[in-house]
Amino acid sequence: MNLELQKIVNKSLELENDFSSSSHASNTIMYESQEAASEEFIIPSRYHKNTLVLLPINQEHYYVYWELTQELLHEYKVDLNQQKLYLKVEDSSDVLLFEFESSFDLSEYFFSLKVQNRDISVKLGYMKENKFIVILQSNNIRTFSSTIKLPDISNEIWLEKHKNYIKIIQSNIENMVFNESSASYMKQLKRLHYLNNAIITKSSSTTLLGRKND
Amino acid sequence: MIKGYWIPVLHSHLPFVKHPKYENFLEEHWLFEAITECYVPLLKRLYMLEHENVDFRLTVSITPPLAEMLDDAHLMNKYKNYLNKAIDLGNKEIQRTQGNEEYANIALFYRNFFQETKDFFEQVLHGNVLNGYRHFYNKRSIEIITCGATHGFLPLLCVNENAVKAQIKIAVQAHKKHFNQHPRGIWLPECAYYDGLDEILKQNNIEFFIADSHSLIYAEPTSLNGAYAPVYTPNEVAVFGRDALSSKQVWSSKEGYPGDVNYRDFYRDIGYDLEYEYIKPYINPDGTRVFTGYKYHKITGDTNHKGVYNPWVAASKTKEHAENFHYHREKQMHELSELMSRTPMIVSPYDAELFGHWWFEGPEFLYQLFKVIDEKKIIKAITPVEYLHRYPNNQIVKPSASSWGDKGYYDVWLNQSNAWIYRHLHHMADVMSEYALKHKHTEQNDTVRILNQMLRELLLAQSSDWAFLMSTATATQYSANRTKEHISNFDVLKQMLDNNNINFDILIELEYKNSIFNFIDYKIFLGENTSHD
Repeated sequence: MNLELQKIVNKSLELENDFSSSSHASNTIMYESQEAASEEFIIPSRYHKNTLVLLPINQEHYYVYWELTQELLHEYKVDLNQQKLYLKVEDSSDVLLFEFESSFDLSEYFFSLKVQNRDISVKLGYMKENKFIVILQSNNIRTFSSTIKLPDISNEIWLEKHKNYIKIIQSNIENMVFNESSASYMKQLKRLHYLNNAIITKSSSTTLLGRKND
Repeated sequence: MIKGYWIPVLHSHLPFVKHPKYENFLEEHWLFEAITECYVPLLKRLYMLEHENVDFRLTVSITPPLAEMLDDAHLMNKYKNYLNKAIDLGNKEIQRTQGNEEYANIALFYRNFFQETKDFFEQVLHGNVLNGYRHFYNKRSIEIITCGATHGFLPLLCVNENAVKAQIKIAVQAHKKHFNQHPRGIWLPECAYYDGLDEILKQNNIEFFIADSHSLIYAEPTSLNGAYAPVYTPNEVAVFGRDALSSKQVWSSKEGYPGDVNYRDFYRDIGYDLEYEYIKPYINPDGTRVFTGYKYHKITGDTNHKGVYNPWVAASKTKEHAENFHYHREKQMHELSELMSRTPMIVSPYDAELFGHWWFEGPEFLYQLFKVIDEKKIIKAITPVEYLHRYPNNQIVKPSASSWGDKGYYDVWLNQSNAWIYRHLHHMADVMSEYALKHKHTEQNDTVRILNQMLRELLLAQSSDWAFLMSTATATQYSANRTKEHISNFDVLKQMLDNNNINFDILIELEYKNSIFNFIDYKIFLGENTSHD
């Protein structure tokens, strides 16, 4: 990373954790009365459905909740008085990243896992003759990223967007050396692209191609 | 010569709170205090700037629940009562403080403050705060952007994509209802982004949003101009990164401007300080002491012995702080311009309710700041749309998932204190999808009414405020109860449909109380893509 870019990145992230704070005003404006505590509402304790949901919290923490119906447990012949449920966190290549067990048909769990930029999901099931039998699979989530990934010639793309048309400018010059500030680089890239007639301006709705707006 | 562009953004939001059964409900005062101390003072300053021919630009998000409340006749009638009561208290205070010049002056100041607020509200705004915003929006000196329909925390709702689509589409519809034009930008609730959200924004013709700076730095690939120039997402939506340094100068309770010893102390209020019998008619009817808005002391310092507040000294301080803010932005822009060949841009988003409520002098600070900017002509305040017009060429990246909450991710809205809500919110969204499809062709008006009210209850339950307040232990009971109330209402309405047995008393009551979005159409949960209008 060149020096200018390094400085821009540092400045962008400087103090961010200190002041990544929302709704500061809410803390002082939103006070409550005793009436607020006096009302009581009954909400369903379960929904009699089969569900397994995975949610991301931050770069290291995740939350999963599930509910299984008696019908489903019966179908798989799982008796939670005698058997346990196993929950396995895997990536998209079925690599096991974390696992835990539970004896409850309705529950939740917070867990810690340090993986970045991966698609993960949870499989819930039971063990039968040393084999993991999957009953439910959760939604997929993408884990957070906290790494700087400078663009290379294949993925540095600029978009010029106007009211009536847009242009996509993509670097495809292999020996382009990135040794100037980003904006200079952009200008140089643009100039070279113009010289090489490399600006793509096509009538297409494909995301990375230029298109005319309707 | 212009050294840089400054994009100030005020995020104006309060959750939908309406309790028609009660003549006085404390939580409704959140809105009344915000109107009195934040929205009206800001609008008054903007009118002053306009009158003085000062060039200014401001981006303001007015969230749909806030707009709906500001447009609600029941709440605005209560607001008038609130103002009258505050003026009445002021008249009593002027009498009580006679003989003590310092306190008499400040009592008079506040009485006049409330009286002038009332006059402005009735005569200039014609009883609707939105009229003030519309005036400047139509003149393009402010850019009003929308937000999620009920400020739902989208990354945790996207388990059912229809829930996110509904939050965005209804937000756009609400914006059109209140401002008669399509919103060009959006303040994502809690600045929270997840990969793929840009596609839904694009479907709704949203041109830009604001994200925390790490969303751009940890993007795929990294933004080469950091947070100091926007990027485009793969779906061509522009993303503006939040600058932390300018946030700190205003937000920080220790180092920030609001902590100046001459500024008004937020916590000392006669609602707590004066004898119970005297103040009783002006606090909550149940006897709970509350803020009355009459705050006679200045911050003074780290002491319990507070000096008397002098609004005129405090006002002069705002000019000093405006000069200081300008100096630091100029310096920051100078440093950035040496690293970039394009003119740098700094985006400074704040909660609008900070300016005036917690920081009483905040609106005056903004007024002074725009005057300094206009006078010096070194920094130019602009809107995101204006910036994109000047610089249409920007890098394409996939922003990283993020929020502006503590630690920058989703911790505040998902932790041990509030995790219980999500299984309900997700289930309700699934039911809504299922029932929207099942009753897609119904022509029975009562069925439509129930389905529409179910959607209102779902949207209100999704408000990120409840999870936030549970997390910060502020108004915890109210937040938990509000969430449960909407879950319960949803379930009751669903049973009416399932059993084909409609309780009209309940339905009518819910339609009146939780009356948000009179244009709502449950078919939005079919998840069909928005037509590009």
